[in-house]
Amino acid sequence: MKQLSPTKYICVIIAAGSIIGGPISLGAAGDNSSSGAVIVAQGTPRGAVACARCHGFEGASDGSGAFPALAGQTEYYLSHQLQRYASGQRRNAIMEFIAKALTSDEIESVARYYAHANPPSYPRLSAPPDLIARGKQLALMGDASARVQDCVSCHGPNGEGEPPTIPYLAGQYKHYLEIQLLMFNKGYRTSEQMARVAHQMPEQHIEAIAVYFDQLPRPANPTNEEEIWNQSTTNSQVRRKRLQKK
Amino acid sequence: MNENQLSGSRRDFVRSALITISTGTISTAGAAARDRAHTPEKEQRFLNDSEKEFLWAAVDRLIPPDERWAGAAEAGVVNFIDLQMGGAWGRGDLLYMHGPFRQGSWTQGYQLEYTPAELFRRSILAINRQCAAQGTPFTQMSHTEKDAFLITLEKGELDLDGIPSNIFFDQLLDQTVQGFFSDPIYGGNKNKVGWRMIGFPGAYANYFDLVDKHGIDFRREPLSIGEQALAEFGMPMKESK
Amino acid sequence: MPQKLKEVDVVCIGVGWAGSVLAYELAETGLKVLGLERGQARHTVPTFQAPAMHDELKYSVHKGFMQDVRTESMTFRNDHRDVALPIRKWEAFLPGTGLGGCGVHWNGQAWRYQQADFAYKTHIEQRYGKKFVDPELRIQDWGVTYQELEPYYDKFEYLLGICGKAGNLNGNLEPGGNPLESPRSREYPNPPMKEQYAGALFRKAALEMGYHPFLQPSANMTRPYTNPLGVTLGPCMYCGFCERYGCEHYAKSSPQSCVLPVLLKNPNFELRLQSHVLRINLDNTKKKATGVSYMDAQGREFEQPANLVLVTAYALNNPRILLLSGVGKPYDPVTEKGVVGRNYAYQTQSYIPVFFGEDVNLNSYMAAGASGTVIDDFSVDNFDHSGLGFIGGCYVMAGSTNARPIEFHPTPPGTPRWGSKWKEAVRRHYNHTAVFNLSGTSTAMRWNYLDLDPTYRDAWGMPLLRMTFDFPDNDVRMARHVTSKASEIAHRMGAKVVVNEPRTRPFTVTTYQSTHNTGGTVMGADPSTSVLNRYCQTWDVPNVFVVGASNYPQNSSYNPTITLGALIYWTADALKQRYLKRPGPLM
Repeated sequence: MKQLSPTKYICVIIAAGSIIGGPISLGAAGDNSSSGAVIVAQGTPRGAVACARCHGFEGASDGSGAFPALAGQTEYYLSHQLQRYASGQRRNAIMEFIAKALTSDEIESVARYYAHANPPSYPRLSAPPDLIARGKQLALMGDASARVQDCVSCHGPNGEGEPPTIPYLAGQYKHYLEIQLLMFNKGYRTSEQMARVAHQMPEQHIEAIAVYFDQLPRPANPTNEEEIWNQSTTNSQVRRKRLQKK
Repeated sequence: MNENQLSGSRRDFVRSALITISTGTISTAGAAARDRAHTPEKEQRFLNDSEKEFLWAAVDRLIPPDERWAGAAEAGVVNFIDLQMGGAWGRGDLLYMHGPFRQGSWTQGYQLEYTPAELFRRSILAINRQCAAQGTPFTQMSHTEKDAFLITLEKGELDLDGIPSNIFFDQLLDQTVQGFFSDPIYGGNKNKVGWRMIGFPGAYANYFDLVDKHGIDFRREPLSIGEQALAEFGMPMKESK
Repeated sequence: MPQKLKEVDVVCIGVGWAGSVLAYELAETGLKVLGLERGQARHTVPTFQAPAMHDELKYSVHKGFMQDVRTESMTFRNDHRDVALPIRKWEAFLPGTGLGGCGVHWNGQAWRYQQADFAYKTHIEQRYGKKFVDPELRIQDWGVTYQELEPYYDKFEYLLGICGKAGNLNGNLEPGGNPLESPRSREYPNPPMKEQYAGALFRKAALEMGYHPFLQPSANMTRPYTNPLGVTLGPCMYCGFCERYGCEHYAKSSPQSCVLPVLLKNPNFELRLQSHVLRINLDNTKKKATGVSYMDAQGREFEQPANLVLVTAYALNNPRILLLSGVGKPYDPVTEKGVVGRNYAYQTQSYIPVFFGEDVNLNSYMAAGASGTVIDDFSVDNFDHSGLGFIGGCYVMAGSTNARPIEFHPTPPGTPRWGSKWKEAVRRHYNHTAVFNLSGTSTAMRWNYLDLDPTYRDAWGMPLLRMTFDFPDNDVRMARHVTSKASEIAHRMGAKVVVNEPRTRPFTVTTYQSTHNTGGTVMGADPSTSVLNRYCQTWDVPNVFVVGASNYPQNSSYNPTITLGALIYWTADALKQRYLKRPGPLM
């Protein structure tokens, strides 16, 4: 997918601003989702690069799989990952600097923004049906000889995630999933939950699992107001508790 | 053989397979989910119509509906009981059913010679007979009258054709609670109403990050074992309220 | 005519914890070991995979992993003068079956016993005098000491990867652990579990009252762990489907997750599933076992010759096998002669439901099998019983192992059993109620025992085991005392309603309490009161060993499994270092 030019970003912001309602001002403490849109489109004065450059204004990234789709991941998960980048627990040459440059409020804003972003579905690369079928078996049943459990018991039915803490895999880019599983496998990315699973997983499983999830539709964002409220209540309470622990 | 008959036989197979489902038979569950559109409750399995009517009326008092939450009847508990009684549980396959049968103390548990299905059938028949003889079928009683009748059953004050009524009542109450709170794949807990009411998140359960976030108000759509099949076959995961 | 098979060196009757670990230990030395398991195969993939595993109706209510009661149950009576009747549905305790046995569906609460437990009679009589003990009780010493077992406790804990914090390292008290535990030589292999909200509230109140709370030692992994056999376990996800369920994450220590991946690859070991052992066969002298007879799934009987028979079939099945085989003299409570079936005991469980306001979200369904905050201040003989008029005690656990709704929907006293008030109370209290678990000693007594039923039979035509049991008065007094003490902590936690539910008589098989059945093949120093010597070898037939909680002369406050693990390794050593070098009576 072609990168949007900066001019197009600005047009989209203005249009979005009129939908959301009210003027947009940089650094305003008012409407979080609009300040999230500003950060996504323009970056921040402290030097965080605009998220949209890599992840797209709609959170679907550029489709290459070099950057993950963010749209519809829960606010909790997105802000948690940014916190991990900021603290160095999760390593990435680009993301670490960006995350460190964001304040806690800004993290919350962009996380909320992408949690509610709703890009259209883009066509996927085709994959051999038997590879998809193998990936499905691994995702739903695991592998006895490799001693790896299924993916869905944590990552939700059809890979739709278990909000708020566990991300969806359905519709995530194949290339990105492969790289992450390899990073877990080699120990470059750490996670208490994923470490053993990925370590046990033979590399030939990784592609199968990645193509399976890639070709699944991305789960629907919550559209019901009450559900959004519940999601953000949970998220903000969880966040508050987490911050209190520090 | 027309399409309905084909669907019927596949539905029967799928439904009985569903009861003995172990793991990995996702496509079976999916077919069952798809077939729900064919209103399976109208189909005869174990319970006959008068048993279903009695049970509907009874479970509706055991767990009544309120303004916010459906009761056992709307939650599909009668459907659940029908499936249970028509399956391994009802047949007594999960019990030691060898004689001799004698009464003992309450600490020794169930000692009647009837399988659960037989117990239900005999008890409901006896109840319907006794109510008819006294003038008002159970299904036509007022709420207060029904409750009073259930209490007499509960206290063991009636003899149901040789079965102490409290034994039947206890099993009925057990089945009702099970039907209200078990996974919806068993035909009850429709729309996961039982789980929603109490805030139980269901069969997908991973709380590694949340267990020590003390006191959070965690709310999530409850997820059933059948969710994978529903998602796969394109049916909406979030059922209408 | 049953077919006679090729001889093996060792046969294990039952492949649960004891069967699989002993088989591993002996197969490693080059012996040909055969494991006969009457149940079916169970493996993490596919058998334990979620979400299908998280099915409360199938596995909790319908006891999916448990012994098939249709083909073999047991009979029960409270008193030896009653007629025993069949347990037609498991409720109070849930014997397992299948590869891995109870090791598949236990919670993973991982306690050691106390030093005092192993010399309980000596200890109690020294501290309080002989007259302190009710005359009907039958407490005994084990014949082996805690110090002797300590290295084997350590070995089993490292096999499983137990998660906890040591409280007493070689006599030095360590902060964060249990200051009342008996000394251990090494720290636990993994750190303790995360603390639940109910546990944290309990901890605060318990500390304020001068008790010593700590996190329960656990066989649910807190991080990835590779055990000494090279098998890797994964971290627990606190899914709340632990006891009665298999673990999909390789996180609960079980034969599947700790031993079988290596054992099943050893060519010296053979596993035969769906092989129901009927009896141990003895020669004409009745002092030597020639092997076992078993029936396969097709109903064909086989004679399996073996040089060494290990009875590892679970605490209730072990005595039954000995009785059916004529190994050891059956116990008669009237004459007090005989030993097999003697000293049956259980676990004296009490509960304290604690109801909080609606602002306290406990989220009890976020749980592991062994998550929980505990105090050991009231266990065994950890407190001075002078003047109290009973022996024994309970540990007190707050937190939860689950909140599965069919079986957990607590309501305060006065709530009707059904109807709209019940429904509203369930809704109101589900997420705001904790239940303390008080796990108490179960003291053996003269009239509690196991034998064969005269009337009822299993599907193979063999008499069922008959259990005669009720709580001794001592244990009821103990439960009342500890429950009343523990409820003070509950009040201190800011609860709205606290309900004392100490265990009382009669014991009923109709509600779940615990699957900690002990006794029946008791070990000891005196053949007139024990079936086994201190090496778990039967006094009567030297090439028959029994390894199970049936070996315990009485039950302590704690869950039996880790102590069983110590006995497993202790017996393995006795076999390797002593018996196999010179077969014959070791005592």
